[in-house]
Amino acid sequence: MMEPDRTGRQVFMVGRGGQGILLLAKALAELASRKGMKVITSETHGMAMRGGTVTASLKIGSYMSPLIPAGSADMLIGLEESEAQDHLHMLRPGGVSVVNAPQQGPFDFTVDATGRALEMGSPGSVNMIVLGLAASILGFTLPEIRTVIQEISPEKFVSKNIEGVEAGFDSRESKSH
Amino acid sequence: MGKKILLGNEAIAYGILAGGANMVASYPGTPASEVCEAAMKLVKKHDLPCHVEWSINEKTAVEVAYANAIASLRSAAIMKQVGLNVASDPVMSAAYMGTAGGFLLVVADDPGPHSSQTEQDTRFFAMHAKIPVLDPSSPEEAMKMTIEAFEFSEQYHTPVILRPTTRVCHARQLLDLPAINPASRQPDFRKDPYRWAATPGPRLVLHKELNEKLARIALHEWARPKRVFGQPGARLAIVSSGVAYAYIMDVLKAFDRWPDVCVYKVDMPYPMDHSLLLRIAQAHEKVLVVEETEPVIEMQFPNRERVSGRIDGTVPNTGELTPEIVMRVLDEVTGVPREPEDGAARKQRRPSLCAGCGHRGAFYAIKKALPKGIYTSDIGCYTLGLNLGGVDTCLCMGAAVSQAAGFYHAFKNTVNPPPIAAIIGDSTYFHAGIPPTINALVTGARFVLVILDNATTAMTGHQPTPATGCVTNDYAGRTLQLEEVLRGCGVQTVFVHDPYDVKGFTEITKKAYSLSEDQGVVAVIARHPCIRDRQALKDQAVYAMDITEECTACGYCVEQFECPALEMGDERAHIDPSLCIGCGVCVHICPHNAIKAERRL
Repeated sequence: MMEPDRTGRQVFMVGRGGQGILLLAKALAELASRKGMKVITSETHGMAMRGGTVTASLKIGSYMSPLIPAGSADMLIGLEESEAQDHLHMLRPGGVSVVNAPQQGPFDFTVDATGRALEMGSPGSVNMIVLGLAASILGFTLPEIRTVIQEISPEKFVSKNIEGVEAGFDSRESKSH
Repeated sequence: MGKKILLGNEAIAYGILAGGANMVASYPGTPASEVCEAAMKLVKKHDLPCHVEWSINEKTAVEVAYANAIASLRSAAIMKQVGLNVASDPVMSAAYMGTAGGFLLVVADDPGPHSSQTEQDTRFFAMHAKIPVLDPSSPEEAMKMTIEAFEFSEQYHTPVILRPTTRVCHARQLLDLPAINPASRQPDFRKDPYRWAATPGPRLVLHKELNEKLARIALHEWARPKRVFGQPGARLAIVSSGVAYAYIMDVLKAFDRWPDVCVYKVDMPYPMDHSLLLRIAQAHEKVLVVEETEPVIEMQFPNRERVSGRIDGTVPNTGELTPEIVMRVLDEVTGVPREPEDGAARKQRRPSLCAGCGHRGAFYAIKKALPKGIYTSDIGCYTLGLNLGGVDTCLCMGAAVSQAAGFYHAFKNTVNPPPIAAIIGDSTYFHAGIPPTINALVTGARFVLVILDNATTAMTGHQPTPATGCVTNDYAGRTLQLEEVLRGCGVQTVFVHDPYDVKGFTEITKKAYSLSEDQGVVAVIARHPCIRDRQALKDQAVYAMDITEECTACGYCVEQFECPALEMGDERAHIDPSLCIGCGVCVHICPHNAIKAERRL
């Protein structure tokens, strides 16, 4: 999915304020740009971040604008199940959803990131677990993801974040799809 | 200097420093806040001779930065669009006086609005103030325009406004980093009282000079719309600027259902070369203007017979433009039949105060202490107190205090005047609360002034305040506490209490109200650090929370306290462990004593 010579890819992300969607978006943008691809992202700041619906978008390829029109996302990443459900219309036909949910439901790829994060003793790692899964589906390797996380995480959270992405990355292997 | 993924606002900060600025002054406000933050980091990192400050408000920021510019140095003053309203006084005059060094105003607009009171269009303001305005379409272009704006400003001796919108400020793009060289210029203030201290007579001369200057600027390359897509004889010409232009280009490339279209890009929507606009209107069968948020370019067409846009309703006249809206407009204008739209209403979860936010306890206590009161409030996170019935008004920065006085005078001769509480944040109080406090005291108003002091400017991303210090890049500075300011304004009694103690805070608020009978304005500082400050969070007690069988599912806690961690189930309320920070405050809220807390740390 991530060959540089292919046409553009658009990833729409949704969650609730405080779940860390900005770091998720930033990590994916860094991953893509390190493969020599052009990226542009859009994110929510300010009032909207206080527990409200937060969205971000990442466009990889020769795009000029940061927003993704409804019905054209190649991937929808949901940090929260009901928000993901509400934004399924962002996907193009054939686009894939990658969602933090305990059950498969209407989604293509799921991981119970909330449950895993609590098991790991770091409820704030939901974004990293979902990032691990999404990045693996997008074709990035674990070493690539680790490098980016190391560079963009606040120092104190590097090891927790890496633990999170590894758990998400591995969750795909352990699940037949 | 290599490549880096930069936020639009970081790109502007790079542009400011690569453009040789010796001064950056700003007051935080979404979507502009990160420009000054990024500039401060870069100045420290590269050890640049540049003064960066978080000014007390936007008017002050502009005045400080303008002095630097008339001392022949280069300055940038940065604010959000409503901040420009606060700064409008010096900005209007600076346009007449002009500048010696480069003077750039970065004013970020927020169509939507996402995090603002209005959708006002700074390009309109620029026209009103007679200042050239640039409308970047991407972080990359914002950086380039910023660098060039300083030269432009010095060439024409005029302030320049860069007007990015939210989607430019908060977009990230992989960019080539510009070279940043320490600005080596020395200050040089040439006394010219007929300019820098002009009285009305000379101002008339300056106004005439300004008009001549604008006529020259309208011949600059930036004032000419450029055809960047399609053929010169296309049936439909789209004229666009800012991020709307980027949407147009992306949808034209992605879908080829609109043939015979060309696109003109506008870099500087004011002043514009009107003869070129006339020529565009004559060369094409139809002209569509797509811009945010008001019809600034559209209005400047000398003849609008073939022109459509916001004025004739082709483009919606409220709200942010999106790729979807742009596509719908293109279909309408070109007569392409549209597929029926999925009209499902999308739920948007409303924002609320964070779980554990100290403001929540303060609002709850104020409602308890002053029932049936009027609660005037202000701009900041705490506007979200409206979710729990603690905010009745929110007009603009500082208005909590003046509106409290206004309500007092409106009701003072009625039989049972309501108690009034003005509820304002610490940073907002420093910004615009001081003159209205003095005004209230000298006009005999009576109310409780509650200052929600979380020791930061939280909503915009934790910038410092005068009470915390560190407002500049290089001077630790003295700090100024709210208590000192309040006493200096003439407030006789200032209580300070932690709103986590809801009961105690309620008692103090009651006491303050009864004292206000004699003293007019009595202040209560609700002091609890923002829980998003990790150190502060570490320093506070943590409780393990539980809801017992005594819960009757009455819903009181969810409605009256409105903590996002509290949810209503069928039989009892629940606490979401992924959101709860264990502050323990809700224990004091439940009328059935069903919420229990056990100290963990």
